Amino acid sequence: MDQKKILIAEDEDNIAMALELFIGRKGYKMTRVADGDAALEALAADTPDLIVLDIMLPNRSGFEVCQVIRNDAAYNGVKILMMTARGGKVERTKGLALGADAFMTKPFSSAELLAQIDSLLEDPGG
Amino acid sequence: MKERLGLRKRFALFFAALYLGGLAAIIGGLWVGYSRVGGAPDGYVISGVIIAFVLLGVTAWVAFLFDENVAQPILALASDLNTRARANVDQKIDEQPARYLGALGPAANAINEALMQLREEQEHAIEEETARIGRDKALFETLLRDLAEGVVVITPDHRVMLYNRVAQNLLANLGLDRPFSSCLQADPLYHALDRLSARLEDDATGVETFLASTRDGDRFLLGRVGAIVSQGSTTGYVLIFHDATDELAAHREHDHLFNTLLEGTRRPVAAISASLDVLQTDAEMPPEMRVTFNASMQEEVDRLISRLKEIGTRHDAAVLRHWPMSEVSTNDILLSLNARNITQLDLLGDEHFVRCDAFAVLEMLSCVLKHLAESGTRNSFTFEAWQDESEVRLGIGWSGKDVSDGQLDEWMQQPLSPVYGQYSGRDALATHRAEIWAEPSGSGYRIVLPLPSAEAPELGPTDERPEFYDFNLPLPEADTESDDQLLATLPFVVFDTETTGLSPRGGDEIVQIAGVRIVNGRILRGEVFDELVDPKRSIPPSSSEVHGITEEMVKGAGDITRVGRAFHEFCEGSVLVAHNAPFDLAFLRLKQEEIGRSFDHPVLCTVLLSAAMYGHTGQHTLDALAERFGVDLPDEVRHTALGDALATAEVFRQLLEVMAAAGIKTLGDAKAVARQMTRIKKQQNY
Repeated sequence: MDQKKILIAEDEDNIAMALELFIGRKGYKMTRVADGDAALEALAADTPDLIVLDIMLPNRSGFEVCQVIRNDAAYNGVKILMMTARGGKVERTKGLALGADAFMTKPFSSAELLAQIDSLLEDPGG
Repeated sequence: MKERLGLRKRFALFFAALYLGGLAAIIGGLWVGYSRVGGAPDGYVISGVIIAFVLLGVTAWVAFLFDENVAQPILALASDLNTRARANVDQKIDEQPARYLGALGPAANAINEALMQLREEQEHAIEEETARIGRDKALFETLLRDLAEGVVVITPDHRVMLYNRVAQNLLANLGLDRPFSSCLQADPLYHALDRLSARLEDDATGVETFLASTRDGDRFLLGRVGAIVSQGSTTGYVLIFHDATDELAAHREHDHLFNTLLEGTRRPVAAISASLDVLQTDAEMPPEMRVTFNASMQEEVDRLISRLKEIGTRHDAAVLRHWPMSEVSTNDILLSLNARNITQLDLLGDEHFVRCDAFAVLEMLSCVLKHLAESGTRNSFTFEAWQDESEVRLGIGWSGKDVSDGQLDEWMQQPLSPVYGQYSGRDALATHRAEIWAEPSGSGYRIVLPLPSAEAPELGPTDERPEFYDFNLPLPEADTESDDQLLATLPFVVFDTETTGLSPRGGDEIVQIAGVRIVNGRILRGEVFDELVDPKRSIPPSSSEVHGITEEMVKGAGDITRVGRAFHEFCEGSVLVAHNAPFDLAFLRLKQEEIGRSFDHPVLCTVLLSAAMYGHTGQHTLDALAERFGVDLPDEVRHTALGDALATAEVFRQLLEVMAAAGIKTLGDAKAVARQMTRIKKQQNY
């Protein structure tokens, strides 16, 4: 079984730390970046299977990173799991419209997050 | 006693006198001659007789000419002048017969012309003035009627004299000459009126504010009341108010959310803080205890999370009602965008309605469109609105270069317009709980802006000028026995029912009730009652054919209890009138127990009244009466309860006039006449 690669784009260190820990424990290969530009570089360098993408990122918003990914045919297989601390319904609408595969509002439990990641990575469809 | 003789008779007498005088002179002369000279009298007699006849002939002829050319023309001229003095006759006086009267004819015509001109000028001036007053009146009526706030004017004893559309929509049971206290819970208003009176006594003017709830307690009205003072006494009060329910509710919701947020976070945070403190400071805690503390922190965190979710949802839903929003047509948005001449924008799709601040949305879209277009890398711009569940999405599409979210965000960070100060696109998006983004679409891309969907704004009723005021309401006659009240000033409800069939006792039921009020002699077309009733049984197709009401139509209609009560309230204090009233009343009275109200109002029947006025043979159907009184009854409304009620109201109003001319002026008179007809009818049936 190929080890799945996950890219985490999250600028808040406390949360990133926790994410890395319990995602890493599930046996995924993990990379973390803290801003939008770095996320795009990491994508180009080593295309992950899934990106956990926070909306509020410095330099480039998570929305824009999502746009770039979806505009680029090379990244067709990458699943996008968007996160936000802003509680509005409309952020979800926008995220999904821009092509995110799933959208979660913080705070959420690690169990919810892992379940979501698992289901996205199992799903063979694009 | 000198009898005045007509002019011609006098002239005739004059000529007769002239002739007789002349004749006497001649005979006298002849006689003197004869007595002096002597000789045969024959000669004298012959000459006397000849002279007599010739003189007669000449005198008569001259008298005749005089009569033709002087006396009669004088009389004719006098008559013409008299006529024109009394009535407005447009023609010149015929001068031909008066041609021998010298300057009299032309002089008479000169006066006539001057009179005609004066009259014309006067008429013209009156017309203009009336038109001007009419225009002013129409303007004021429209202003009042269509004001965005409710306006009601009440008499000093709190009966309604005037109301506008908004007031009618906000208040139940509002109508001319009705007590205002039946429209809302009026205690706060009475307190305000007391404060107002106290002020007026101190010679201070001004208004008092009040906050009152509607009768069903659902809505709150915030208003101001002022007194109308004329010649030292209060002739009425003016109330201006609006529905403050939503504002108040929004404020309450915000406060509540805030409080809940504070409460909901303080305690869990305190608990977590305490647990963490313990865990950190007590290094030698046994593992089971550590587990307990960890579990308790988890519990508090879960509580925090669920509280946050809940508040987040409610915050999302609490629309910012103090921001001016309205129902806007997406086509209007496009029109305004195009008017800015930024670039050609083609319309796709249908019209939809959204609830938003039209100005802010327009500024946002203009800003985006401007930036998109000025890059030179994009063309073929389109505008489309489409429904997506409870939202309508606005889209501006184009072919060419895409746009990044960062770019969009930058544009949205700018202030929208000098008019709005520093208010930016981002702020506007937050106000509307919206977002904006760019997505691929067809062969290009589009900007999408979702907004809450709205109903197309309701157009008001198409009544030209429904009567909504009467400043001459009859004073309430407190001590008169009801039968002595004048028909001209009594309030009436003219009504009609449609039923499943003709036998109230045989199981037939009412399917529609409609009525219209007559107050102070006027039919108030703006105050009608028109409701379908669920008969809780089948409606035979034969009866549906007559009144057009099917079982489909009454599904969801109120039952006889609810509608009957509402109708009873509508008829409060009025005399009931119907065509063939015993029929309709039989139904209503039979249902009194079910409705819980009794219809013991005085009743008048137009069939009986018409029979009394026009003979008890002949046609007294509604159609016949309508024709007799020239009431137009179009086919579509014949046999609908409201159409028939209105026609009956017109007929009744005219019957009242006929009855008044025949001396039937009070309610008692009318009832007596109707009783008489009933007796005659009963006798006829034997």
